[in-house]
Amino acid sequence: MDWNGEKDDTMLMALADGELPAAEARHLLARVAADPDLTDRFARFVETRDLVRQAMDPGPVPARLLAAIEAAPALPDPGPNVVALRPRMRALARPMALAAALVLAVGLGAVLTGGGGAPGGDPALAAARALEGLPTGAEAALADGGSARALASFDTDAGFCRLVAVAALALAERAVVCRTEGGWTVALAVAEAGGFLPASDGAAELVDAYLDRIGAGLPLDPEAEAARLD
Amino acid sequence: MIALLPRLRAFARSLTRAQDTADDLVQATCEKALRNLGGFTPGTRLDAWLFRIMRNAWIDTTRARRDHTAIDDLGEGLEPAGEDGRAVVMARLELADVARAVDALPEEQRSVLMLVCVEGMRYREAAEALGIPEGTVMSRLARGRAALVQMLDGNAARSVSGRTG
Repeated sequence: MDWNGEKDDTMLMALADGELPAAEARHLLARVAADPDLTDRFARFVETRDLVRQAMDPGPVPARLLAAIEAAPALPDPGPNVVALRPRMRALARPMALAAALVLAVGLGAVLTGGGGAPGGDPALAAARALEGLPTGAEAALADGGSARALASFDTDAGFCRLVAVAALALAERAVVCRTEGGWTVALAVAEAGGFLPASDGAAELVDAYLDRIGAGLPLDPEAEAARLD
Repeated sequence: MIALLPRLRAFARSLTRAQDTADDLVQATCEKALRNLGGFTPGTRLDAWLFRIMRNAWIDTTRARRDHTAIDDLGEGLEPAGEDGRAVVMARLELADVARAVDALPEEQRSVLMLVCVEGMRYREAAEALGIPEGTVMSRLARGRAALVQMLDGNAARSVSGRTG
């Protein structure tokens, strides 16, 4: 009746789940057999395991699911947009393992250049600076006539980072910019179809993969973002 | 990845609380993972990586459509457990109760129950796949089972009093 004695119960559960070493299991089983109260509590763990297994048994893997997964492409989705645009990706040299992983993720179509790139001329960097202090959703003009929009902000392993869209005459890209001691750093930039259109699948996957790698969780809510932008 | 499908289905079921939605989620997860194989760090656990992708995909899905509570088909697809028709019906009813009780648990308890009790994963494996300490797996497992016993005892008491009254 009583479900107390937590430590004891944990041992009983481990016994029911086959997690105890053989000698320990034999010893405890003997105790359980000799004590009706222990027998009762032990039985509940055995029964719940059994009931849950029966009730939740999903059955064999459906053939439909197997077929769909076996037919799935094992490389970046070669959507028509992405192929036509030959996505150009720049990643900072700093997280090198990450950059390498992303190269794999993009396949051979991507060109990777390390380091800071053209100083001062990086549109993603200009976008990060133009959007400084502005909340998600805000748009800012860039010096060269283009514009930038903040799409989301995240707390990540690399500090406070933002996902921004950049649109200029000859360029459209999506970038992850992160705040460092010296100011903003472009962590990742992926070339894109024009304007502020939704990201093509390939670009979105890349950005997703990158955000995942740097430990970004859900986008910050407006209050949390505001606190970090201050 | 194919070998991990049962595990993925169990975890997906704990997120979606419906098997058909769970299988869709498994498919989406595998497709996403295959497109991003480079995101996997060799030497780390593949199931942990896939679970993360799956959780994120599920968060995306639920964010996209908030009215997704489809938990009507619980208890379907169960194997008959008794010999005569009456026993089969009783067993089905009982298992349907169990499934409902499992689905009423917090997700963190449901996921360890699915992985350990249904999928037969060791505590340590489940801990590594979920990225939590083994002690946490055990305490969630124990709490989940205690809650199940309480819910099912409550059900039994109700049906008994219903029969006499």
